[in-house]
Amino acid sequence: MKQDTAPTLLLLFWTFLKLSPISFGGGYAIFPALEREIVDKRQWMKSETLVDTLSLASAAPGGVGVNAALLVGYRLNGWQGAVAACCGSILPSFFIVIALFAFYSKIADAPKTEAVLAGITWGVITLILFSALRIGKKAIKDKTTLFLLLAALIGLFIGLSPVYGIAAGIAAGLIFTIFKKNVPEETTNASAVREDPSYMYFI
Amino acid sequence: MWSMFLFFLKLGFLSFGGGYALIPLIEQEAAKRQWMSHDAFLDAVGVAGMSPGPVAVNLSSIIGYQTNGIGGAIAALVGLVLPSVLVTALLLIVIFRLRKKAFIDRVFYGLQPIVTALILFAVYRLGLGSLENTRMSGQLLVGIFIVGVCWIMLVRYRMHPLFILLFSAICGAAFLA
Repeated sequence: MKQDTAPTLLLLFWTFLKLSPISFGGGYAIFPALEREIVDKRQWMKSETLVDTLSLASAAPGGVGVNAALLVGYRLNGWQGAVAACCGSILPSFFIVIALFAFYSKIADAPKTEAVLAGITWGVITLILFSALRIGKKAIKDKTTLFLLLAALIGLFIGLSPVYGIAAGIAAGLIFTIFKKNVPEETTNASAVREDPSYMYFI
Repeated sequence: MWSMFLFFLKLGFLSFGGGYALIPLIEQEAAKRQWMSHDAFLDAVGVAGMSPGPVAVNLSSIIGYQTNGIGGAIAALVGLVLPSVLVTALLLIVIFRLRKKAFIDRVFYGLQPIVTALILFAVYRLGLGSLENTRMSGQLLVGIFIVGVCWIMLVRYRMHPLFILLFSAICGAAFLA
């Protein structure tokens, strides 16, 4: 679905600029904030569409946060939107990391600094767990998908590269769905999708 | 600076899922080309990990900054980010051109469980990474406490993620020092 008024580039840039400083530990931690901002507050996208977009961002090569900005920006405002969102998501962490490194010698040995960062890590873990739940709820539709999840987890734990998991997942998706009459659709928005099948084209 | 840009450009094609896998490759190259000492590199990895944003991207900015100033930082960053942005953009065009919703649904059917596993694994890696040294069990307890309270704040009271981070930072300063 396409929203009536596309957000201005500046607003898109600003939105991702604000989100970037909380993307500790890779990009997954911004998903909850992204959902609040884009679905709840600005209502630029439906929740379902955002979850699809974010799972694509997680599977594409590169940093998850940057990919999320790229895909969301593109869906909302085409290529210009993608560039605006991307710049917004990269700039703050770029300056933060340079500044931190420049002052590292002064803060490195402060135990309080370490403790604060250790605390933040656990907060970030909560945010990422929440993201996993949001995508997992949509992903696990039946026994096959549950099996894929467990197999991928085992693969990652024994040190396989995520690339294989992603390739295997796509292959499995294409193969297993041949044997199913119809892919189980999400019950919540099945009718909405059928009404407006064009929404996928705006990924 | 040009060779550094090219090096990160090459790495950029390998950076799936945040790029923890790139760190050993960057370390080898940094040692070979004498960009920085081993100790400085470990510091750089520490700073890259504690800063927001993908670790590999942060690390490339630091190395660029250390060797060639702010211009070098920008060159390294663009080198690392550009390939994945282009590949992602290419992916977009392919999906855009396909215009077959049934096909996309089938890809997503298999892909989403894998993505869920990737995210869960990121949780495990982050949690393990923050548990070092000898006081492991104590830290784990505090960690579980923080996660529990944050979960309630996030799910039950729908508080902004910024408050979650603020709360966990305060808890860290109070209990983990």
